[in-house]
Order: sequence, then C-alpha cells, then structure tokens
Amino acid sequence: MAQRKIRLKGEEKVVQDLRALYLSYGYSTYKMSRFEEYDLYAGNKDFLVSGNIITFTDTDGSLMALKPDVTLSIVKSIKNNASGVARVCYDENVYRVSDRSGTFREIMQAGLECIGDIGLVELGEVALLAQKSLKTISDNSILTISHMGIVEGFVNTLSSEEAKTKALEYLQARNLSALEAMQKDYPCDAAVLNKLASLVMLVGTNDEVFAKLQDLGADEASIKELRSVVSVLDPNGMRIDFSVLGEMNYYNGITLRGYIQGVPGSVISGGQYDKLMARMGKKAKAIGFAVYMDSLEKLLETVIEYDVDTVLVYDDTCSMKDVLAKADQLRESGSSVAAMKSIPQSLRYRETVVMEGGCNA
Amino acid sequence: MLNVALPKGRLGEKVYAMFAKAGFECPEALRESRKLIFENKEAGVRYFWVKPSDVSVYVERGAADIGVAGKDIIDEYEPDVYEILDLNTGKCRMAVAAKKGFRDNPDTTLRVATKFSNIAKSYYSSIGRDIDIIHLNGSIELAPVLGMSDVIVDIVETGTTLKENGLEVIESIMPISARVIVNKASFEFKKGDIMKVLGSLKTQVEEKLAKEMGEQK
Repeated sequence: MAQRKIRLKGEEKVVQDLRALYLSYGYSTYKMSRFEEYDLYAGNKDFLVSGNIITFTDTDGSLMALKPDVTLSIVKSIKNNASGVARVCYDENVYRVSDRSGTFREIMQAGLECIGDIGLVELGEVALLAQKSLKTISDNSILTISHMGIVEGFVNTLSSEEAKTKALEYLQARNLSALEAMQKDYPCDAAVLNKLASLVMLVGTNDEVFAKLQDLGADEASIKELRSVVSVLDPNGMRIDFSVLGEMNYYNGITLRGYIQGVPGSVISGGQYDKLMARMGKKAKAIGFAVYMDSLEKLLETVIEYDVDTVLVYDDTCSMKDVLAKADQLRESGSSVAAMKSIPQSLRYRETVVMEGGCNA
Repeated sequence: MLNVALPKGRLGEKVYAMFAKAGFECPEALRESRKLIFENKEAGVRYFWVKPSDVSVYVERGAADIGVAGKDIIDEYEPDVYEILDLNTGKCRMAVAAKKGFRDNPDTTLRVATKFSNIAKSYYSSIGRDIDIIHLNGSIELAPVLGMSDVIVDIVETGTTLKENGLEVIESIMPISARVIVNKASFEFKKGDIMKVLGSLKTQVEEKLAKEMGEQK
C-alpha cells in the first residue's frame, strides 16, 4: 500500500522542526499543567506580555489561572541546589489577550530556557538558536539584539526615577524628538540624554556600531559580552538595536527580538532574566526566548487544492459492505476517499468513481 | 418640549418629513446651516442632527426623548432604550463579504474586518467559528483587498462599492431598517407627545406599506 501523506498544518510542521532543533542542542522537553496558582503571576505581572489573566476557583477554594506564560512555571520548577545548566524547551498553549484583537485567545508558543551557571557559551548558543529558529520558519528573517547593561549604564546615571522611566520608554519607541525634548525638562541630564538619543538611531556594520559604543563610553563589560555573542551570529540576518529592551526589573544582559518578513509584529522575544530569577528566590542565572506561533498562522497557511482526492458515489441500492469495501480498495492507491450519495457544490475533488454493478443486484 | 435626535443625512431628512407630518414641524431644521439645534416652540419640538451612530447615545442618556437609528447601530451598541417602531425605511442588510472566489479554510482563524465588532462577534459565535476581529472605522472594503483580513462584515445596500473593489457578498447576517427608539424615562413623563408621534408614524408606515403592496399587484 502506498504511503499516505499526512497533511501537517504549517505551524505544526514548524513546531516539530523547532523541537528537533532544540533537542539536537541537548534541550529536554517540559510538559506542564494548563493552569497554575494565580499567585505565581500576580507578583510578576510586568513580566507577562499582557497583565490580563483568566482565573477560576479550584475545588479547594484556591485561585487558579490558565497559564498566560511558560517561563515563570519553568523557573518555579528549578531547584536552588541544582548544579550545572538546565536546558528546557517546550511547545505549549498559553492564554492571554491578543495584541491584535484585544480579546483572550489560546496562543501556541514554543521556546526554550537555559538556566543555571550561565556563561558566554550559553549566551552565544541561545542567541544562535534564536537565529536558527527564525531561519527554520522563513528565509527572510532578522534577529535584533541588544544589551541591557549598555542601556542601563546610561539610564542609571539620570537624575530621577521619572527621567529613567521616560527615557527607557522613548528609547523603546525610537522617539527621538521626545528624547531630545526631555533635555529641557532635565537640563542636568542633557549629556546622558544626548547619548541615549544617539543610541536610538545607531546603524551601520557591527564594527561601526561597536566603535560608536566605545566613543559614547558605554559599559565595557557589556560591550565585550555583546560583541562575543554577535560574533557567532550570521551577520546578514541580524541587527544590533537598542530599542530592543526588556522590562528593567526582570531583564539584564542580552535581549533578543526576531522578525519575519510578512508578519507584522515580532515573532521571537526573549533575553537574559537573572533579575526575575532573583525575585523568585533563585540563585541561578537564566536566558531564554519564546516563538509566538499565532502570528505565523497566515504566513504558514497551506493552500489546500482538494478537500478529498476521490469521491465514491453510491446510491440506496448499494449495500453498506460493498461501499466500504470499494472505498478501501480505492484507498490502497494512497488517495483519500469519501463515499457519498450526492456531492456538495462546494466540495473540491480530483475525481469521482460511481459505484457500478452489484448495486442493483 | 419633545427632544428628537435625527441622524444626519438622507435618512434623517426623510424621517424629519414623517415627524413633521405627525404635527411636529420645524421647517428651519432642513435649511442648510451649521446650526445643530432647531426649535419650534409652538409645536413643542426641538430637533438636533447627530452622527447616525450617536443617536442611540443621545436617547439612552436622555438628551433626546426620541430618535431614529438603524437596526445595525442598535444591535452593535445595545443601548438601554425602547426599540418601539420599525419605520420600514433606510433598508439594507448586514452581510459578510469577501474577495471573489474566496473559500473559507475552517482550519485557520478567520480574520474579520468590520465597524460592527459586536455584531460580527455574535454572528460568528452563533455558528461556532473562531475569528480574529480587526476593528476599522471606515473604508472596510480595503482590508480584504490588501490581504489584511479574509472577510468583512458591513452594511450592504446595493453592492456597488463591493463590486468596484472586487468583493462579493458570501453570507447575509440580517436585514436592517430604521427604527424609532425612545428613552425609557421620557416614555413615562412625555407619554402624550410620544404616543402622538408614534401613532402618526405608525399610520404613515402602514399607508406606505399598503401602497407598495398595491403597486406590486
């Protein structure tokens, strides 16, 4: 019997490919419950993509949440006395408000977390895996990368908390005019704000960018780390971009965001989040990223030419046994077969076979 | 004094004529002007022209005692008012339209562009279809043409705009016509005036219907 092709949806294929990629780097899969205690998220709302969470009361009265995020569950499961590095990957449904529709949606998310005694090798590997994940999905992708240490080095010298918050917000929005206008409100910070403004539009080859960072007097250790990580990435599919920032209370170090041509928003998002680990009472360092599969649905949609290969047309005079046997016989060639008395107008099919002989007997 | 909110535009003018015939004249209201409020003290009526989608707001909040709004607006905003009479005018339908030759793939989320998010949501939930709503405020037909949405949910009158943009109706959701809506408190306190208007409007609608039936015969 000919091998029958199983039609995988585009996202299903990508999820499989990503899982194979991560497994080949020694990551192990992590399966979790669909819900968690609400408290896990309540304390870390800013870490979540959206603060809206679907909650319900469990039979024992405790407040539960349909999980809006995977990272927090994985971090929770990491033991403090564990040694070495834990490499965990997942593909899970999460439940959160979609940016696009403003309503709760079930969103397929794949990703990985690398937790433990993390050094340059792990940072480089995760950044590389982020780039490879993008390339698995599309030939035309860009990974943007930045370093919180560089930005924080400047922002932390600003004179007030308010100025810090504003400056970060404007930097993320690439709002150059607002950053420049801030100099009027915070004259004592003018020099730093100027440097941040030049970060906004920092473009050029990686060497040019690093030279410029040196000129600006950015944090040396952060530059060194970013330079090392960048050196393992394919320069054609990446950009250094200081608008790529995570929430300052959670992220430190490398931050990543990935884009794919044809998808309006970012497809990959992640970074190093030692501060989140510390907030959750964990000593280890951690870096990871998530791939948002929902944004890929339309990009990966497979156009189906036919609903079914063969329509087997029978009438009331045909015996059930004959119809099923005939259909099975047709399936042996590897094609899909649907038996029906009449063919719906909207059905698309390759051929029809009309039951003949025997039926009237 | 009866406060009447009328939708700006052709429908509003038509409806004004019906109110005038009911004894609430205010000829000034039809004059080209930038003024928004028109009053006839003798007839005891005050008209104001508002954006059609806002009529229900004015009536619900009691700024107007009575108003005329399309069934589309009433179903979209679900105002807490009495939907008291079908004027049987301003008729069109709410429909789903897509690019010619479009085929729904039930394996993916359907992207729906519309001005009428609530109507679209309740329609698709009634048939159990998973959708992603893209709320737009105008030029809805552009969305499927640019590939931003798969279908649109919009008002279709003649279908000319759809046709000119290479779209066609694939499903009708509901018929639409202009309805008289009344504020619930006003209905108690101004019952006399309101019943007078309603009575006349009802007769006019019936006469028109009878005439149309006669023409058909």
